[in-house]
Amino acid sequence: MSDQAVLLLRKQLKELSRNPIEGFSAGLVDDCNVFEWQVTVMGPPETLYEGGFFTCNMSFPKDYPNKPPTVKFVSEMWHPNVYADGRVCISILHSPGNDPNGYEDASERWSPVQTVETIMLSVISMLSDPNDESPANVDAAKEWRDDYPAFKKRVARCVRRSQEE
Amino acid sequence: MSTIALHFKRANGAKITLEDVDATTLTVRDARARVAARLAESDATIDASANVRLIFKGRVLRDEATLAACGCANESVVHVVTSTTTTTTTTTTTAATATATAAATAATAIGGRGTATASDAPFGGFGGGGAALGGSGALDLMNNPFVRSQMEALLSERPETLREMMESQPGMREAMAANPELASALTDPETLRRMMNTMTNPSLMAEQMRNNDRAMSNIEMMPGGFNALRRMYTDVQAPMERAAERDMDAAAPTATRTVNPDEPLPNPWGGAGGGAGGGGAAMPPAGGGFSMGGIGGGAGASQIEQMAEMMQNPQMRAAMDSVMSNPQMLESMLNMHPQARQMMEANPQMRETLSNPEFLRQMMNPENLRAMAQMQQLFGDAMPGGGLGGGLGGSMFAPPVAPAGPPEEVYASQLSQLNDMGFFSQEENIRALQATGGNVHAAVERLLSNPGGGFA
Repeated sequence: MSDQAVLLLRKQLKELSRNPIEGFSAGLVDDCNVFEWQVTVMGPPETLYEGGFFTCNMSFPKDYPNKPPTVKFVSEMWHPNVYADGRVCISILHSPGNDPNGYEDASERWSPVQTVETIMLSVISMLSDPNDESPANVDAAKEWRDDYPAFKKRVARCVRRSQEE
Repeated sequence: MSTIALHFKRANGAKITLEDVDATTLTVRDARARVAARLAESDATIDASANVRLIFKGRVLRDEATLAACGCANESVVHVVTSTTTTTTTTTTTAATATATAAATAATAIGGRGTATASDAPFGGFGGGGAALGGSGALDLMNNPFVRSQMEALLSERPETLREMMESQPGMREAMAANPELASALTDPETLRRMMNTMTNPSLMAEQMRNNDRAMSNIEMMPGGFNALRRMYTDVQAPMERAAERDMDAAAPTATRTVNPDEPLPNPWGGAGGGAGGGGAAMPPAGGGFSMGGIGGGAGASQIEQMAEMMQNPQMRAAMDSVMSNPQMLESMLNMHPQARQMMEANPQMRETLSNPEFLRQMMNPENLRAMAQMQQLFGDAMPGGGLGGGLGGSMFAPPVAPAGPPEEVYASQLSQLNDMGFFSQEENIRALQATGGNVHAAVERLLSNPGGGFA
């Protein structure tokens, strides 16, 4: 089982380094471990995150692709769908099956066809278009809705910090 | 010592290649300088001293390291991001902020709907919240001096016209008869003027919106409160919606169908931008769509962006222009659509207008065309207000002649964007774009949620 995961991840890594996708750059945290990826997301243009370089780590489980990886921002991040500790909350990263809370359709959740590429595109689209229906960071979501200027300021700070790193 | 070739890829997909790179000695700092110089040659907006960052294997490369230490091998592809200088940063930030704010306003309106479901919409119609639902689009529309002066004139000089307007729609009349309070609210020029003022004042609008949300949650908290909201919905909102829907039915499908034969069933609100103009023309005194603008706003908001995007597509505009400059085509197009014919038969005035060569010539006047296109763009921005503006425009039935054409052409720019993002299946892309009305983001979501879709 683990072999399949290694093969699949190696293949994706090769494909991404040969033919990188705009908007993010992916590599391994440690070249010996294909289960831990480091990805730098370039803040999508025309969003508050424009100009930022946000690093996140992707940890794949041994039974990938049957189970989703976790994506966690290492850079400071202020976004309604990113937990305070940096974990990204998007429906496609939730374990397959039905949502115990009844919010999401099974079809919106993890499916083995997702790749690093599709996940990162989802993360990028999340940056440009926050979803405040089931916020991971309630404070950020509240600020986004109620005090947008403050939200903007805070994001701008994150962008600056990410550039200094 | 061997040299390698490195490829550098920019965010917009452009690529440059540095040959003869000695990765073991070249530091990232020097590589950055070389890349910046190369970029400056081809792109006037970048000067050689611009701050360029290199990103490789998920890391922003450090100046001191050599390229070899960063793991760059022959034929590696490195991401390049050009950071703008301080001055430009401020301008881009402001621009981004403006759009983001607009999006946020619209999204907040939607978010509000999400939590309180349809129950907050009844207030939208007459609580001044109509403006809130319309979001910034309506604001833009209201800030247009022409629209504003027309509105003022209508409100202050001819309140009876307004009443006529309302009563000319059977559905609306029924709703008003059944609920006299609603009738007085909808026909009271003072209320309407206040609504309008609210629309033009962003802070007032935001305040109204907040109040609205708060009031709504308060009511819902009260025992029986939710039922009251429900009642409100069935008594006020539903009849009004029904009335609006009936009036729109004739116009909206025509418009949408002309745009794209494969598009999903027309959403009466979504079609408003295109359809309301037609609706406005079909209704006797200009502007039957007035109150619907406010009500439809909530639902329409989600499609504002799509519509705006569509309207901004140059191909779309070009097609529109060409159609508009050909009276025969226009007439045959109108005749082709049963709804349009019906509308014309039901409304001899409109037929007259349409077959009046003088009028058509006026329409062909490039000056007018431009003005119309501008208006349409405005409507694209201000979907909910579209009903309102369409009505005011009176003769603005241009939307029914919205461009037809193969989806490859209509969505050319979106398709190339999708292609850039790595969705290579033209067929899938077109299907996704059609389903999402040309919204790239939505199309991407759709493609991604569709197993096996797009990714080769």
